[in-house]
Amino acid sequence: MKKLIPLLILSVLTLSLSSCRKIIDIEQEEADQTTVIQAELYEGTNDFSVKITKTGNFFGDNSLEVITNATVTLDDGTTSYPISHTGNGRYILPAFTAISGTEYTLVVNENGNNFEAKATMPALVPIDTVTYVFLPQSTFTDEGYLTQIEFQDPAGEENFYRLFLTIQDELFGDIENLILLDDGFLDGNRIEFPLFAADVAQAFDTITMELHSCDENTLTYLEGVDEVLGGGNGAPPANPDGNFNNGALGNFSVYAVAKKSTVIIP
Amino acid sequence: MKNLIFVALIFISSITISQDFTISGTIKDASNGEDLIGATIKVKELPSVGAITNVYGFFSLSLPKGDYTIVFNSLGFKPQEQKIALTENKKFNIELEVSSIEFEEFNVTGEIEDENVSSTEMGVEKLDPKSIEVIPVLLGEKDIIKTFTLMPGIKSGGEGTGGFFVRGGGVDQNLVLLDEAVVYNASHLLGFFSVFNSDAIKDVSLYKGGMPAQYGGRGSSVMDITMKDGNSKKFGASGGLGVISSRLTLEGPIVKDKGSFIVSGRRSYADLFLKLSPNPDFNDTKLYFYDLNLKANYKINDKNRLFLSGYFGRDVLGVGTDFGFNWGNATGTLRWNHLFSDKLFSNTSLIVSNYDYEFIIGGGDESFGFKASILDYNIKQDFSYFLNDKNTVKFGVNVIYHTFDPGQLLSEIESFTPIDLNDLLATESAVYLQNEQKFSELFSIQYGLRYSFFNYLGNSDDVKTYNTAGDVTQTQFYNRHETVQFYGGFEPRLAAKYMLSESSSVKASFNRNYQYIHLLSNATASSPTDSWVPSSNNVKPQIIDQVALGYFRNFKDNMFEFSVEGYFKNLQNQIDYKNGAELFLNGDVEKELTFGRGIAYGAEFYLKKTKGKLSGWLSYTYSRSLRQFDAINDGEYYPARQDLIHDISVVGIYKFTEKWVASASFVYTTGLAVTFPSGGYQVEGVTVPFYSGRNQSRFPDYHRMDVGVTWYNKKTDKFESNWNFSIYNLYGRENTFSIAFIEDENNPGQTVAEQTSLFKIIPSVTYNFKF
Repeated sequence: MKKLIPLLILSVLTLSLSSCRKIIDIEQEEADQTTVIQAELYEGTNDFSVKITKTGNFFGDNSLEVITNATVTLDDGTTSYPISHTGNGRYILPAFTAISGTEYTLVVNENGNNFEAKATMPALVPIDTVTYVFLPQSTFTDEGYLTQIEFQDPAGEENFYRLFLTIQDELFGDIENLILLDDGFLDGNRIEFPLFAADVAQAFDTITMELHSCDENTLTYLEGVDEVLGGGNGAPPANPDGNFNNGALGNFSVYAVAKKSTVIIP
Repeated sequence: MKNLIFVALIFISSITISQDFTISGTIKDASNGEDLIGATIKVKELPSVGAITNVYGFFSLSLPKGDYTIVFNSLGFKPQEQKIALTENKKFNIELEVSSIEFEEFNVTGEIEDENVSSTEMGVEKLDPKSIEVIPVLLGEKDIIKTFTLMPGIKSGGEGTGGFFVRGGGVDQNLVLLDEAVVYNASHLLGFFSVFNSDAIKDVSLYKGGMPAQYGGRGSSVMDITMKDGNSKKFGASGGLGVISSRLTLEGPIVKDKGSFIVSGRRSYADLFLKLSPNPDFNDTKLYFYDLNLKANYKINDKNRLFLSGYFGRDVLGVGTDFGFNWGNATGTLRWNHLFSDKLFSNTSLIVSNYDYEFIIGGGDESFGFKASILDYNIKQDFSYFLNDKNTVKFGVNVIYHTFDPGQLLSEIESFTPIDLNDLLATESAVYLQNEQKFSELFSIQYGLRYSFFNYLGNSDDVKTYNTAGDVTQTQFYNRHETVQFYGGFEPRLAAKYMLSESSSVKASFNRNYQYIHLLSNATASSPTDSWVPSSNNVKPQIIDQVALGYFRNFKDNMFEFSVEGYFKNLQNQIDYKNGAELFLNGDVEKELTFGRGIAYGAEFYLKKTKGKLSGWLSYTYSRSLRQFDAINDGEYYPARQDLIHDISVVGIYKFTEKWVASASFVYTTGLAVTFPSGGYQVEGVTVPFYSGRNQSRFPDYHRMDVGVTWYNKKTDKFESNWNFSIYNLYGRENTFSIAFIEDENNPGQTVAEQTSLFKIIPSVTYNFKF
């Protein structure tokens, strides 16, 4: 909304007056480089990948310095697994089996600085059905099929979800268009969630839903990313709040993924 | 508290028992019967004795028995002398003739000679709405707020930002009063124009500090605007045709010399031009604002007079049927002046203030609408007791009942459950007592005490208490109008003047102000959708202390006025958002807030030339405004958004002939402090900005020059008119409205900063008439 108003004013003034745009240089104070750690652990047996970089420039050349000499370990409470660097700042623990309900601790030691994050793998919440309903053209949508995911939210616990939808080859729900959900007001309900955030699908399209159950911290972090990328909703911008201590940016995220596909039959 | 006032009155009266008689009455403009505010009453035989008229044109002065020559005077009027033998109380109803030399000088700042030096008040700026018409402004819309921002210590955030900043305070720390009613949002079109139609305004004072005890409720400043009463002699019309809007004012007597009315309207018409556009995206766009000022007064008898005034203004934006947005203020004031005696003047006011906004997205049965508002009922009782020629005592009480509607989301869509956040209720009250005491010809003090208190009231719902992390620590049910939280505090006010010579003085002031309601303002630009919230169990009142010291000097028979004022402010219980706060339709918005403190300090230099063919002023302000919050920037001091370090204004008005007046102004201000990324990193392949702290970057410096010329047609008894031509932003400076970060066209994947500026060179023409 806040963005819409100035935009509207601007568009009108552009016509009637002489508003103008130009590229300018912003005076930047040299900010200290900060360590950024991105780690995603998936339930089941998968390669566990950790990427470690430093922050770089925002303007101009935005290549990042990668950290290749960090000591990285994942601990599941009984065993500590060392994770080795495989190139370009990426550290991979191959074919690791992550189990729901287990708390994992990721420790990164980079040049003597220790960064630690803890996360508990959530339980997988299965998708019941993927449905769709035909919408005529309107203010809000083109003509086509609005897709909807239906699943049973587990009662008596807080659940957090990130949703992905693929229509043919087009992905919705990526980091720039996050679709996030929590069961704050819906605990234990059967959730029927229409994906207004995605485009409508057309007849005979293949649609695939992915329901990523995550922990609360991962959702908070993603909301923070959404805010800085979207320019916020009025509040001053700030770095997304990840779960690493010691000032590292990024997050140790945990997901349990359910997936379901269907074809739209008119 | 009542006892305290009583005791103080007894004390003051006990020290001054004598055989005095009182001269009292009113001073008016002979041409239209308007009360003259701030007109002087001087006694030739007693050079140190005098009085000035109050906002209703009333004065009272007690003198020992004797023969006197009384001189009544006001800026722009011929002085009038009366010889009297004072053996009993006397009443005067003085009408002053307009001075023929009015044209020679444009004393825009509406002050009588030497008043800057001799008055006890400091940190106050005044404007004569009639004279500002020669100062060039955007699109020829004469604008009191824009003209004030050319004065030291009062700053604008640039084009497209609503409101103004006084001595490092925020937009919400300004108390803006129109005939005593609070105006919550003083800008049209997101700050391009102020809501005050100069045609309907008689007098404006802006207190930057040392405010008298009768004012309270905001931390930084008071802008007190008095509407015209209307011509009580004859019917008249005046108006203007401008590039963006037109104005029409009608005024006249209800009963000659007993009552009058004024109706003044203004409407912009940019949208009417848009209708002519062949582009369908524009020709169904709505974009206009209007103002309507109404006032009527009636003098029942010498002791009683009634006033009724109202203001209605609205901005309307819309694109086709898909999007609509409108907001506006409405105020109403009913006042009763009553004279208990020649010495005791009373005014009782009943006031309503409302501000609301609404937007609608989508048409027909698919639409969503959002509304929010604030509504005040206010009752005020003020007394002025003109004890003797040395003491003027003012005291009064005030109670405001606030209703804040934080928002409701409605939809025509059947399956949609409306969201209606519960109204927040509160009362804000105050009692005050003040005396202006002349100790000698050289030394006078205005001292006062205000006690204000605030009740945050329940509304038959649960009230949550949050800890600093934003978690609920307590939830308790309160009935409607049950006190949830009480705050109260004393607000001492002090202003002292010592004359160093006939034309120079030093002044000092101290004031403490409590502010109980707060504007949660978007930190990147102020907008009509910023919401007001009351102090509560989670939000403490802001407490702002200011000390100021000033030196005032006039040169060359008052041709030049010079002043320098320094101030220091301590701001407690300041409010800001936590990092990454969620604001929209958030019933728990208080948990998104964080609390800290601030300081502001500065020095203001002001040199004004008031006489001669060339008049105008130079002003330079150095100031800082810093905040300190534990939760922001690791608890270190950081600049407030309005930390505009250097500010220069130059205004020149040159009168070539009776017919031609030219003017020019120049402003320079340090850029606003803003939060920009200081680096970036990647999340899932996308560059995410990295912020190293709040408000660590700056917009580019703001500067601009405007020029104008006014041509007066030959004035007759029946008709006068003038043409005003102006050029805004003469050298086409592209000042920053906003900065966006976009992908570099030449280097895909890289980010550059793109500045949007609104106005390059804007010429305009306005025609004004009066008959």
